[in-house]
Amino acid sequence: MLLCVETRSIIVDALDESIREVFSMMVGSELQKLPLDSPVLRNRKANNASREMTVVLGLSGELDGSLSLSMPESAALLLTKCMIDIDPLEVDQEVVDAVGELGNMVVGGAKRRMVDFKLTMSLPSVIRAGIDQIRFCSKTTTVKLSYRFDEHIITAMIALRI
Amino acid sequence: MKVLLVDDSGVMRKIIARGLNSLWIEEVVEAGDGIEALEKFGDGEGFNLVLTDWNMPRMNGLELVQALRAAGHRIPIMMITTETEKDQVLKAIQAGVNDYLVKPFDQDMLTMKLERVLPNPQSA
Repeated sequence: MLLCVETRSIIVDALDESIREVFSMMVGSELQKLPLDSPVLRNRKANNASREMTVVLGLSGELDGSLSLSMPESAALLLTKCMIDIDPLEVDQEVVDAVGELGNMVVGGAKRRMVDFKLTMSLPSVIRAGIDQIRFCSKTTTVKLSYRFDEHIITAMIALRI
Repeated sequence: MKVLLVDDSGVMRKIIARGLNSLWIEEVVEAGDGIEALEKFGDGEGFNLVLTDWNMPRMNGLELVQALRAAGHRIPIMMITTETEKDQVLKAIQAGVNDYLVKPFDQDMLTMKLERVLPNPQSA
């Protein structure tokens, strides 16, 4: 089953506005949205050797599923530096915290823009895996949006149970 | 001016504490959840404001507000959260929250909200 066009459009707009707002205010970076057929995304899939991190938050209400935000570890280090002005050399608790909080704000902002769906969200979980390594056990339909952050690619994905 | 800052994210605590210290707040006491906040708050002596996140493990921000009000503390409390739905805001106000700061926010928004709940004594 696919999402109806109107619902899909509401989700895409809410997520897009939210992720841009969060990165602009908290990271000080204006994200550049990548089209689905971008060669940059094709190359990333072909050379997906870099280690990645993902923050996942559960969603329930009139939509049921999760929202995740994936990025290379190097992007996580950079955004932590931008947020708290320290320069982490490796993924530590502060980096995990920054990624988790960023996911929390992105989902919160998207939820705020989709009030009619009466959504509630879980606490964030940060995992050491990329977007292409996530597999869902139940049937889901997904919406993905990718952005360029400095020299990195960040992908947001809403996965809804059907 | 002394503030109790409650958030389970150490990164958010750093961002907010830095913002507060650049204003007229002299001391920021940090706690990672409601339970730790109650321990550090004690009888409230010397504190001028509580800033708390909503979603936290062990004891969330709403439960913290309810506990502080139930104990008779009248200190101003500001919730810093992504929760902005009408029924959530209503719940927070009923529990005794004085003001709200929605995440994400920038320094100007933090300053504006702080001025409302805890004005700069030097500009009075």
